[in-house]
Amino acid sequence: MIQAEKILIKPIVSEKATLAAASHNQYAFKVHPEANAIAVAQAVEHAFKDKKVEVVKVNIINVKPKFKRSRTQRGKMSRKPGYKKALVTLKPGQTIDLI
Amino acid sequence: MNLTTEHLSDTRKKITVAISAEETAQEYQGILKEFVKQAKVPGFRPGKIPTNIVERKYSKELSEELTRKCLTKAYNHVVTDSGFEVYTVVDAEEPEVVKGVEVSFEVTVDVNPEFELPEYKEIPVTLVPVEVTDQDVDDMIDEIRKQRAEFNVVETPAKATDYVKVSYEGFIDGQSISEICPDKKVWAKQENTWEEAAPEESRRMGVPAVMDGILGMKAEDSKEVEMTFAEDHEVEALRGKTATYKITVHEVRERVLPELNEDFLKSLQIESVEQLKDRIFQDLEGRKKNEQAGDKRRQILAFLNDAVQIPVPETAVEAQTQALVQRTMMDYMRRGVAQAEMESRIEELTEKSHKAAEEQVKLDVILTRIAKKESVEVTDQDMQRAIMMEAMQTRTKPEEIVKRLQKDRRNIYQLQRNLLVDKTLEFLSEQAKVTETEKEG
Repeated sequence: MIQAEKILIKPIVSEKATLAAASHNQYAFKVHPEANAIAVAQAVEHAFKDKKVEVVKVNIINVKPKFKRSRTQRGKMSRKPGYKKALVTLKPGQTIDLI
Repeated sequence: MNLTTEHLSDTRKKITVAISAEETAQEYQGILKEFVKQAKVPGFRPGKIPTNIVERKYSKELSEELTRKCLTKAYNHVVTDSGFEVYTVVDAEEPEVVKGVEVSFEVTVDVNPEFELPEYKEIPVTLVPVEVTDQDVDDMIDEIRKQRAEFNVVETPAKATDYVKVSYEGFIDGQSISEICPDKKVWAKQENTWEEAAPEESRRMGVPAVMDGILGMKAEDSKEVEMTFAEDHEVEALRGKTATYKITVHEVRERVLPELNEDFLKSLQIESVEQLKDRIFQDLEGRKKNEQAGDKRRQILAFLNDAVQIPVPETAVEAQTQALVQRTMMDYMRRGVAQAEMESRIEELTEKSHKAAEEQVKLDVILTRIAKKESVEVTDQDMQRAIMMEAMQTRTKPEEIVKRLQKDRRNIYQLQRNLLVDKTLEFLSEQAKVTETEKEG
């Protein structure tokens, strides 16, 4: 079992995430690699409990690590680690501030 | 933007600028738009960042920019639309501007006073007509001969305008003058100095008694002469005192003027006496014409100065005074005046400069006004000519001067201003009503 406060690592602020928040009331987080949808839902409700938000749905996406071949150092590969991303849908009308 | 004016004096106004809430909000939106275009936030393509994120990230910069922009706009507004000719901004409050909130602040400015221009066309000037006589030319030739004179050592007594190597020391009631005023050696004691015996009035630059006293003395002669200092003598300690000078002559050199012959002409690179006379005539005429033009300008300035009585912006006078004092100080420094003495004179100097500065600023104001009315303008050609002139005078390349000017825009403004004043004066000179006086003497 993971500690609740370790589940949400950080909110994701990007063009795509802002768009999702605006159109579907979905908020993106980078989460602990071993967290599951239920744990994330509970963690979000806990973290923003002063706003009393209700999570409708959590989609989990495993973002694959990205590799890049160096053009100068004999084709050495560099690796950008992957992570687990959770898209949390809130009940319509409820919002959270990510920044 | 709302302006309310409070009159502090004729040349100083306190202007309260009020910027309404809508205006600040509008300004803020404009700035935000600019920021969105420029901002870089990871996770977003440039220009695609939502405004709320930009606002959050750059809140400090945004508010600074808003304040800066609103204040500059307000100053410009004051300068252009307050109805005064603003000379400088003396003091300005710098409040923080918040979007959608009304702000008001005070700006104190010095303005050019309002005044009626006097009738500046046909300013009466009286000039001495330019006239070069044969006498002038002959005098000039004599002068040249004197400058090129040879000095031969003679054993005879010194005649007038001979040069004499002499040592002298002055005493007042048995006390050496060098104790009374140690820093003025000319009046106290000199060893082996060259003096002209009984020179003409214009070349008197030493102790008169000594210069007259050595007349008729031979080498190795000694003599004592007495002299009473004038009541307005430059050294205060000596005024009205009677001094005795002990003079010892070491050497007498006779002034031998060169003959007006071919050798002499050759040394001047001139072929004949007529040509020499002709050239001197032209020289003198040119010089006199210059003098006349200068005189004309002086008279015009004096006329304007008298005709207009206006208070002038204090800051301008201050700045001008500072500039004048600085120039004099530089001059002193070049001449090697001691630091302590300069500092002791600075106050006196400031006071003296203040009046001159006031006059200059006043004339500046008047001439600029005339320039505006007569649409006298400084063209690029004028600038170029001025730069070329400057280059010739300082013996530098014009490009260097241009570079120097470009370094600081204020220099360019300064030059433009000077040229404008110059051109206006030229204009007034042409318009002036000239009465020629009879030649003096």
